[in-house]
Amino acid sequence: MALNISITQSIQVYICFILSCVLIACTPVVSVQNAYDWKLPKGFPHPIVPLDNPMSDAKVVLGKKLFFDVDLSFNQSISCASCHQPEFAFSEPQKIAVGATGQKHRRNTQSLVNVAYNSNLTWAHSGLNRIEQQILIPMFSENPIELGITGHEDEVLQRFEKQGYATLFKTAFDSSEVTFEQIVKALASYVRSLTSFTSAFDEYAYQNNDAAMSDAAKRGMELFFSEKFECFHCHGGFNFTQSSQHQSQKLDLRPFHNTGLYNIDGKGAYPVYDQGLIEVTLQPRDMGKFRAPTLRNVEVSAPYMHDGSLATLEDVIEFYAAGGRAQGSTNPLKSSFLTGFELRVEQKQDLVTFLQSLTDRQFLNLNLNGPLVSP
Amino acid sequence: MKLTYTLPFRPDISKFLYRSGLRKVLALFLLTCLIQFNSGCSKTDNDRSIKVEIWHNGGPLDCNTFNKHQQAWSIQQLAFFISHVELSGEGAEYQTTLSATPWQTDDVVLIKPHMPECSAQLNNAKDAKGKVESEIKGETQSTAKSKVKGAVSQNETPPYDDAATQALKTNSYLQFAVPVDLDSLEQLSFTLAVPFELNHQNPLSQPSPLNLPSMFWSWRSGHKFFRLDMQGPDKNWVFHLGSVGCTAASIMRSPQSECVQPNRVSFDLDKKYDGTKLVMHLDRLITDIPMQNDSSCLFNSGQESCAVLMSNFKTQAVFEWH
Repeated sequence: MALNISITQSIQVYICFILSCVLIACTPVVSVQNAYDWKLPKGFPHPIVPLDNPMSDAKVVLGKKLFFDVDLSFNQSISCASCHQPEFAFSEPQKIAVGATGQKHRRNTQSLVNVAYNSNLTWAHSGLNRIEQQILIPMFSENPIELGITGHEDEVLQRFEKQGYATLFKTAFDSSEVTFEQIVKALASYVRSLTSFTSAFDEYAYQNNDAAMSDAAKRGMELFFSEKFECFHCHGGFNFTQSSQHQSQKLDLRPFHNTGLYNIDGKGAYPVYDQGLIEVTLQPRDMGKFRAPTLRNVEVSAPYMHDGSLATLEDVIEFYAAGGRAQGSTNPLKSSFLTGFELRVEQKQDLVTFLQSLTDRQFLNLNLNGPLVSP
Repeated sequence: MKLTYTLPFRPDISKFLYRSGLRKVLALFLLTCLIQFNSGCSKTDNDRSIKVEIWHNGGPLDCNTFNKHQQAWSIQQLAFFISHVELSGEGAEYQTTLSATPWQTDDVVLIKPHMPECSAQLNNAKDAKGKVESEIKGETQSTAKSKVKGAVSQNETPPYDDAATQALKTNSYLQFAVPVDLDSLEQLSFTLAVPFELNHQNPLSQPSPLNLPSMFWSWRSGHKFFRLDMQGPDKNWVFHLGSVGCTAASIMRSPQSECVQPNRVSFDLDKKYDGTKLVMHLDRLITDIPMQNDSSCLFNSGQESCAVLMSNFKTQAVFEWH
C-alpha cells in the first residue's frame, strides 16, 4: 500500500510536470501582472510587461530615486531626469540632448509619457522594444556619451552601496547586492509607471463627459481625425501613436514614417548624420523614417521632430499643411498621408487647442516632486 | 493540493499500476499531451482553415512589389476585414464560427498577408547604389552599438522576437472553430467589412483585431474595412474603404443608426478547385485606376477612383475561391 501511495504521488508529480510544460509552451512571453496597481482610469488597458521584470511598488520607488540621482552618471554631473524633465512631460526644452561630458546627441530628448505601451523605443529602431534594453544605451553608450558609465562601472556601483539605497534594493529585489541588472530593472519599472490618461480629451472621449472639452478643442479634434488633415493616420489610437501595444492588442505594427523634413539629393536622402530607420534595417525604403511619438502632453514637450528642428506646435501644423519642409515636401519616400492641406488661421488655432486638450495636468503635477539628489 | 480527485480514474486501484502498466500510463499521458500541445499551438489544420492569397496577373504575388503602368509599386500595407463567413453545399448551409485568435473574433477576421520585401533583382542600379551606401552607414552604427555593454549588443534581436511574435505580424488564414468538409462545399460567402454593431465601439473595450489603430478611423466612422497603401518610385497610392456619412455628436461618439454609405461589399463565390484558398486579385482591383496621387481613394468626398474601385469589387472577380 505504501508503495502504491508513493507511485500515485510520483504519477501526480509527473502529470503536473507534463501539464505545466504544455501550459508554459503555449503561454506568450509576457503576461498580465496582477500584483501591481497601475491606477489607470476606467477602461484603459494594462501595458505589456516582460515576465522577467514584473512591476512592483518597491521597484518603482527605487527606480524613481535612481532616475533623479546624478550618481548614475560617471562624473556625477547628470541624472536621467536632467534630460527627461518631469515638468516637460519627461522631455526637455532643447533641440538636442547633451550628455555628461557635454557631448551633443544628434536627436531630441523624447517624452517618456506612456512609454510602457510603446511597441518600439527610441526615434527609429525597429528591433528595440524592451525598455530594459533601451536603458542600456543612455547608461553605457560611448558615442554619444550620455551617462558615460562605461569604464567606470565599479565606481558607479559603489555609490549605491550607501545607506538608504541598501534597504530599497533589499525590498525591491530581496537582496541588498547592487548590480546593473537590478538598476536597469528598477529604472524600467519606474519609467513604465509613468502613465497619463487624465487629460480633458480623455474625460470627453473615454469617460463620456461632453463638457470636458471646449468647442474650439472639439473643432480641432474633428480636423485632427479628418481624412483631409490625416493627423490620426500616424498619431492614432488611444496613445496618439500607432506604435502602441497593450494586454489585448499585441499585433505587430510598423510605426515609422518619412515626414518630408529633408530631401538633400532630390531622391529622398536625409542628412548623413541622421537618416532614421534605414540605419537599422539597411532597407532603402526606410530612409528618413522615424517613429511617430505620442501626442499626449505634446503642449509641454517642445521643440518637436527627431532633431528638434520645429520650435512650436504652430510650426508643426504649418509644416504638415505645407506637406513637408522646403525641398523635403517632394521627398519621394514621404508618407502618402502628408500631401499637405489648406489651413485657415482659425483652423490652426483650433488644432492647437485640441492638442492642448491632451495635456494631463494631474500627470505633470504628480511627477514634479521627484527627489532631487545632489552629489 | 489534492490532485487525486481531479483525475478521471482512481489510480490506486487501477490495473494500470502494475509495473508495465505504469509505463503505459506515462506513455499515454505523454502522447496525449503531445497531441494537445500540437493542436493547441500549431497554426492550422487543412480542414479548419482557408488560406488567403494575393495574386497579380494570374499568379501569387510572393513579394511586395509588382509593375503597373511601367512602374514598380511596392505594397506598404495590405489588410482587410472579412465577416459573416458562410459556407454552403449540397443544399445545406453551414454557419461558420471563427476560432478566437488575436486575428479573429467569432465573426470577424483581419487578413494581413505576409508580404516580404522583394529581392535585389527588382531594384534598379540606383537603388543598389543607395543600398551599398546605407550598408556602410549601417556598419558604423553597429560598431557604435557593439560598444554598448550588455544585452543590446549581445542580443540584437530582442527576446520578444520569437515565433509567437512572428505569428502576430501577419495573418493569411480564415480559421474555423470546428472543422469543415471543404470537399462537400460549393459556395463561400462573406462580407468585406466589420458589421455595424461592432464597427463603432470604443476600441479600448474591443477584442483584437477590432482594436488596431491602423485599421480604425474613429468611433463615428468606424473601421477601415480594406486598406491598401502602395509606394511608387515618385508617388504614393492609397485605398482605404469604410463607411461614410455616419452621424454622431462628434468624431469620438458612435452613430446610433447605419451610415448613409455603409460600403459593405458582399461576395458569393463558387468553388473553383479544392476550396483551400481564397484568392484576391490585386490587378483586378486596380483595373482602370490611373495610379496617380489624385486617384487615391480615402472616401473623403468626391474621389472618382472610389466609385471605380467599388465597382471593380463587384464586376472584376477580385475575389475567387480556389
